[in-house]
Amino acid sequence: MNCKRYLALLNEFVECTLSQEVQDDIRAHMDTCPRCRVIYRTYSLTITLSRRAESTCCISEDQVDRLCCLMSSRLCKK
Amino acid sequence: MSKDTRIPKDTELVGRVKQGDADAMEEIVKRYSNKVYSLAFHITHDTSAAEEITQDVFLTVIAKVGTLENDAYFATWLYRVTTNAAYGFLRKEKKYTEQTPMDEIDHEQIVGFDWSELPDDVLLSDESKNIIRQAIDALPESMRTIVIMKDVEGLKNEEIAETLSLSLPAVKSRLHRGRLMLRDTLSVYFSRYANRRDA
Repeated sequence: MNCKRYLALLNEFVECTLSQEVQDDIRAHMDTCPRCRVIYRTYSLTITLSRRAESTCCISEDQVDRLCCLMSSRLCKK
Repeated sequence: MSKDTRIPKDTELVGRVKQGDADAMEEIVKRYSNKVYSLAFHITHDTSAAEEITQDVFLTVIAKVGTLENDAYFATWLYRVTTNAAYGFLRKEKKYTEQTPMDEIDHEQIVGFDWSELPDDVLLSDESKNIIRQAIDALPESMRTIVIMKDVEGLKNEEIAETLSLSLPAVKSRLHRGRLMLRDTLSVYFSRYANRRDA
């Protein structure tokens, strides 16, 4: 495992979709490469922060009721 | 006779909507309106636009659901209609200009200091949230949509691939590149704290 290959596989590593053997190779590489270890930590945190940065938003119940009424009336006209 | 309390599957509801069943359409609206609205909002950052898009999307369902050949793909079709409508809004309002993606990720450039150990009040500050929101908005559309669908809306890679008519490897590749670009931006932003920690 070298840094370039590590970086190419990082996405799959974070999502745990690699074989056990490759995951072990990546962990072994991180143990010996502090730079790649930093990338892993900050890459993972970037995903977490993306989730938290975007506010949770919900459509209002009134809006859902209006949509239901509108759709029903449209279907009845068809 | 006991009331049927089971939760109908999408395929059943879609089949009934195709027959003009208003109750089934209402159930579809209740089941998906929040997801449609949320996706539209996170692409446009405009509550009014998100409401308008949500309404248009469900009107499109009524008008075009008959063209859906495989009802099992209803949800991904719905997300595709939503995504197209949201980007249509941005283009109409001239609020989105696609940027040129990095051709190649430079390993040397993206290695910075380890900002993962910064305190939460720095990582989760309003300013850092603004930085990442702006960074997501500045991603090329091909990556931005996927990052929003995956990391904000929590869709699976397979659903995103189906929604955007992309191969699974293409989704993974664009997601990875988008995340690396975001990481780059955050590394630059948080690097201001490097010296303070070392001091």
